[in-house]
Amino acid sequence: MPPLVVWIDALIVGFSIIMVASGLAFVWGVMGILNWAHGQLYMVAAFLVFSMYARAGLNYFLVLVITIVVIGAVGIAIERILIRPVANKGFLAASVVTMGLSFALQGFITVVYGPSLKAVPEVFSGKVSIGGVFVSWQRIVVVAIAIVAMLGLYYLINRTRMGLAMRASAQDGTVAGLFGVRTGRLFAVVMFVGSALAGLGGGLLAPVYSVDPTIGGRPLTLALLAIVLGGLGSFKGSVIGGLLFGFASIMLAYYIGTWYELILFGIIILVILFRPQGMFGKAEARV
Amino acid sequence: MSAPILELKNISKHFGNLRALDGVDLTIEEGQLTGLSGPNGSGKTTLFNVVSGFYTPTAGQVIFQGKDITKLRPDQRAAMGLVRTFQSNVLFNDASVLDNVVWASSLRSRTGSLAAFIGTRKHREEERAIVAKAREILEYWGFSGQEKILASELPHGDQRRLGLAVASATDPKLLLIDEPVGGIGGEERENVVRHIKQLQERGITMILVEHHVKTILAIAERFVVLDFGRKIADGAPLEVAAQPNVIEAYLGTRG
Amino acid sequence: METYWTYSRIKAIAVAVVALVGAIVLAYAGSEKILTYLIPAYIWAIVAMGWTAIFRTGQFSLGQGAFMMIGAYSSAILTTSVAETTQITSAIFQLPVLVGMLIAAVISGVLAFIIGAITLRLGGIFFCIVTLAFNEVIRIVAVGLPHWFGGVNGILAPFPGPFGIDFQHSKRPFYLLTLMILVLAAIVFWRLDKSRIGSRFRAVAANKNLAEHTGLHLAKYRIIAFTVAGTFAGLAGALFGHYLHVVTPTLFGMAEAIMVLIMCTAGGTRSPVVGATVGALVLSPLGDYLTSKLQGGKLMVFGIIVLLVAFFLVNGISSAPDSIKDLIVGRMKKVRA
Repeated sequence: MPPLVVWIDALIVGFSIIMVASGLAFVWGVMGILNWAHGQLYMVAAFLVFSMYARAGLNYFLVLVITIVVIGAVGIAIERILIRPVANKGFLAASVVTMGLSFALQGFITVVYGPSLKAVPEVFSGKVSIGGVFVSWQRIVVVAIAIVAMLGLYYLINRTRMGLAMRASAQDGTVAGLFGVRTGRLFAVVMFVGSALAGLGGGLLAPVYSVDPTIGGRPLTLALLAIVLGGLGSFKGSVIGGLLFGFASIMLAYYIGTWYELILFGIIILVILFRPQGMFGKAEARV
Repeated sequence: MSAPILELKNISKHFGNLRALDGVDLTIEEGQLTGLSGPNGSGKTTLFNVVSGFYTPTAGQVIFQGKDITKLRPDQRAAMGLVRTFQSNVLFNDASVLDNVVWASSLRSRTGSLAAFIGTRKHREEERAIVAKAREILEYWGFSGQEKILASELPHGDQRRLGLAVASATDPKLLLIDEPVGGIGGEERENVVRHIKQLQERGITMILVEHHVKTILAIAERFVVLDFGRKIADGAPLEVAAQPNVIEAYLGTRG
Repeated sequence: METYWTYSRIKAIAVAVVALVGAIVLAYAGSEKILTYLIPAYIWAIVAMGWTAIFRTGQFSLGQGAFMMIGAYSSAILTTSVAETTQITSAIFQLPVLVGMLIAAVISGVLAFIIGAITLRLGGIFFCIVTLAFNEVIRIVAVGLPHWFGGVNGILAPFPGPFGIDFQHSKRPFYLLTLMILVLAAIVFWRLDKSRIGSRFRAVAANKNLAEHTGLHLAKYRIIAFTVAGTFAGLAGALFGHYLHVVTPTLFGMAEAIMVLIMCTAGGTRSPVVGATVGALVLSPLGDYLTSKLQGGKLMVFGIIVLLVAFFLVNGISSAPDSIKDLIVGRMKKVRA
């Protein structure tokens, strides 16, 4: 039985994956587009926090709010300016566009900030003892805010009328219009929320992990795998998939050591092969 | 009496809680033209999907010419002579009319992929023969002179007809036709019906899914009706059409 | 009766011949600098053609970078000599470089076949994600087994030296070698496309349900494309490794896989060979030039170019003359009506 500190680490990794995965799955599920630049939104958010908090010294929460809003707005802009014009040209066209954007964003940040690692100082210093283990406040805040965000998303999807339209749209794009919510506005909200979640992830984790222009790639890959694990097309799936993925990472790292990633990826690949719909995905996903 | 060409034994197909098909038994004799109908959602297309291999049934067996094919892929079934047409997305849309038939003629090829890559003489001769045969098929179905037109540019009725031509290129023994006259009327419809009758004369067994009961009454020898995934009628078309439960199924859900 | 020598065919052959002659001339007349831009471009073109082939069966692979790694590492291990490396226990083969590259290509091909056989029946986004994960797997293995793969510092890949030709002091022999392999790849992919296999690729991509129901085994054709593409990606990776003289775990990965995709979409996917080559020949030198001028510039400009292409040239740069023609004709029609 691994020590408590490992469980807590697992929770943090799990939630950081959920931040990125849920936003990605949300947009993908409702609008049918896979935003390959999603990981870069996470990265840009980290840099925004670096600039505003570490360099300019503004209040962290203020910085976080600004970051979320900015990234959310960027998400809306991406959909309006880049994706909509090519939406009817197929999955490849939409993918190419977001991949291009992904490169452009990473390149732009590298040009502006330089390629070297940046450090963002801890916001909440000090540790608290939980069950005899010292856990830093910083990490507790990350998990707490993440939980709040997930609850908010759950509420949006399952308890609002707009959420109903989103779920309907995830089933069948044309149906959403019947719910009296204009599709344009619906998509804007979805893009905003999905992107803002990635932004929140980046902003929350900037003080925890290092910040450099290449940090966007990994979260995207992990998010995709988590989504597949949890099941394509299921919001619940992406959350549970993300948590499970995080836990599996840390547990495997603890027990197996250096090769844990390989085993983890191997497991995911096996899941994809034998149960492509993952845990909660739509059945008969015959592609 | 020869063995039936197709037997469906206790076929069920569940999607989670939805029972699209529930214990369907069906036996089709060789050379028969059977009409399959039922209100929306009764499971007609699902049944076709199970027979053609697109879906694996939750329970039950599909037996074709005495062999259990329940686990076979659609292309393997096509190689045995079991072919279906589709109701939507019927053709290779970005390809020419000729290419549509040529591409569907893969079962006529005997030379393998390596020979194809190298381009051996035998292979090239075979390809020429396939193209010639494709042209014959197009002429038979009324597409002479339209070879080079893109399939997507054909009018709707022509697309349906081409879909049947494409299916016939596979030299089927059992042909499952999904809504052959859907969305086309009048003379065009009669044209398609005539072609289907001609296919029957060639000895091809057929099952037609068709909403339009009159068409079924006109050409089918047998009429099967599904409702809520179950078979509710099976027999001579006129008798079945007069059955009270059949009429109710239609009136009840279609008003 | 249709003639074999149609106008467009003659035009195509003429263009190909001129290009080839031009490329050969450059081997002797071009400066070393030009060759430094062209060699990687040719290598990317080889990989890009493979991606295009896979794409033309209706899939997109994000794993070509991984096959390049497999090829690069295999060839390096097979050819590296003990004198050049210290702790690598796998450095026992010391084969001649060309032989090593060939075997590396075969190894890549076999792995592509195995992976394809397992994952291609999934199709679509699942295949895409699995190939993406594969990139990561290769990197992890490369870093995790330093005695086999040289760890973070990688393995030295020696210069080729067949027939006593000096590959070390001039780039020209390597240029010619790369050109030869590019031409080979072009012939293979072109032939694949023109043959019945190519029409079946198109059928599978155009309507997989119809293709399957008329007797085509979908997985078989996807696997053929994936295996051939994987073999050439491995060969290309091996070439690159020997060109750079060292093979490290970060050489090719997700970014490179996406770059190949971008080259193909920018260059055009209507032709099995032309689009990939044009895309690589334009974007690779451009990228190299930008990297020398500006850190991160390459990525940024690549990204912007892709966006421009995606918007204005539906079918890629190679069909630009047609697209521009359509645009002009379209404008004129509007004016008239």
